[in-house]
Amino acid sequence: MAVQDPHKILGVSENATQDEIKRAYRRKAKEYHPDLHPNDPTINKKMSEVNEAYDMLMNPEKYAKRTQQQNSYGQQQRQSSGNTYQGTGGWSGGWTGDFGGFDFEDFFGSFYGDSSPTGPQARADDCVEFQQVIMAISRHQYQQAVQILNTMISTRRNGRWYYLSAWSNHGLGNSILALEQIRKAVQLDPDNAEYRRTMQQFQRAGQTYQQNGQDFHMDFGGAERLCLSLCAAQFFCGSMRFCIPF
Amino acid sequence: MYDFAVLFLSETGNAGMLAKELYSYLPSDNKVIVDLQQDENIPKASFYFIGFDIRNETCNLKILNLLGEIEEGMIALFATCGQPLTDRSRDQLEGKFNLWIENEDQYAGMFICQGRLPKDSYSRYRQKAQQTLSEEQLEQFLSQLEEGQSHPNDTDMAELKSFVENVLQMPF
Repeated sequence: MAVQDPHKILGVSENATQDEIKRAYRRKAKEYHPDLHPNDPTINKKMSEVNEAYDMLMNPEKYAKRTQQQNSYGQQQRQSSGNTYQGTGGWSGGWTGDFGGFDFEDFFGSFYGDSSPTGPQARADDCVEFQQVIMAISRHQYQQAVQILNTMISTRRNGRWYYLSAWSNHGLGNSILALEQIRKAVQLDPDNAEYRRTMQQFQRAGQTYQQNGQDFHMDFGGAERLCLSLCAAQFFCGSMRFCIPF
Repeated sequence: MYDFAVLFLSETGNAGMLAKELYSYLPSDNKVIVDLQQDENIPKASFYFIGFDIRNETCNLKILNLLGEIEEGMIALFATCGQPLTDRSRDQLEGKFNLWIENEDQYAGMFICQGRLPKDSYSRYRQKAQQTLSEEQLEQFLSQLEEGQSHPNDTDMAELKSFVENVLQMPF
């Protein structure tokens, strides 16, 4: 199953805000809830459609990538078999749908070329602040993560601090600053494979943005110019260092 | 008013195991644990831990209604899920449950771990995986599915404890 029009399934306009999408999802999820339709064999499918429609609207980047892969797969199919590509049927016959919502693509993300960073994991030796930051990042409360990091004095700002600050700024959409900070983390702790891997992921993400032409038209010269601007902004903004909106 | 209320609704028994363990971690004598299958009265508390089993990316309707009804106090969620989990699927599941809490400021976080699958679901997953995956993927997937049958395990409980400690240290 592949949802064709998520707006239609949730009953929202194409300009719907995230709040409107959430409200619509709640309404539909209650309407199709399996507890209310115990004898309807089609209800799980309807519920899965609602779930997928919600995912598509809240995580459009995931589905854009899937569409690209799907198109690529379709081309390969045409080249190898000479048959006419039959749309989504050629891909998998249903990634989610009747399978309890399970998504093989998520499970085998790396196999399918998924380079999306997933987020920092807590370590046993993390201080309380770092644990709180990781918790905040996992809840997508990046501003709160930045606030906690900013309470830590400069002598405590080690590689781990820059690593977590990079993630926080990545979450806030401050891609350039995130890249600068993950580079600093690698510089401070060059043997840390996790930092190096994250730096590569952030760099790849930046390249993807460039290739896709999605609000990221900056070469490294541009990045340096932006860093100069950032430094100036930081000079004037003091403690607002990690909260500068681009 | 209680300091902590642990409310849970567990049809498979998995979330019930977590609930009892979680209750023992809470640093107060002024706490209560309620099995919502036995008792539907919701006590007043400063901090609620609400537990449930996830099925087909949703949970019992009573839980969804409850999440929208608690107007005061912090809310943390804990759940077990019958499918193998990835970081992304955890994020997406969390996003599907925390949206039921009307006031975002009340939300403290969510713990999700794999739970033992009911027999029919296990067979269904296995069958679908065999139809869909390559040999190498199938081996990896089935291994995790098999491993999940022993959950929630000691590692899950240790992670749950760490989650509770972190949540209670957050500056709210």
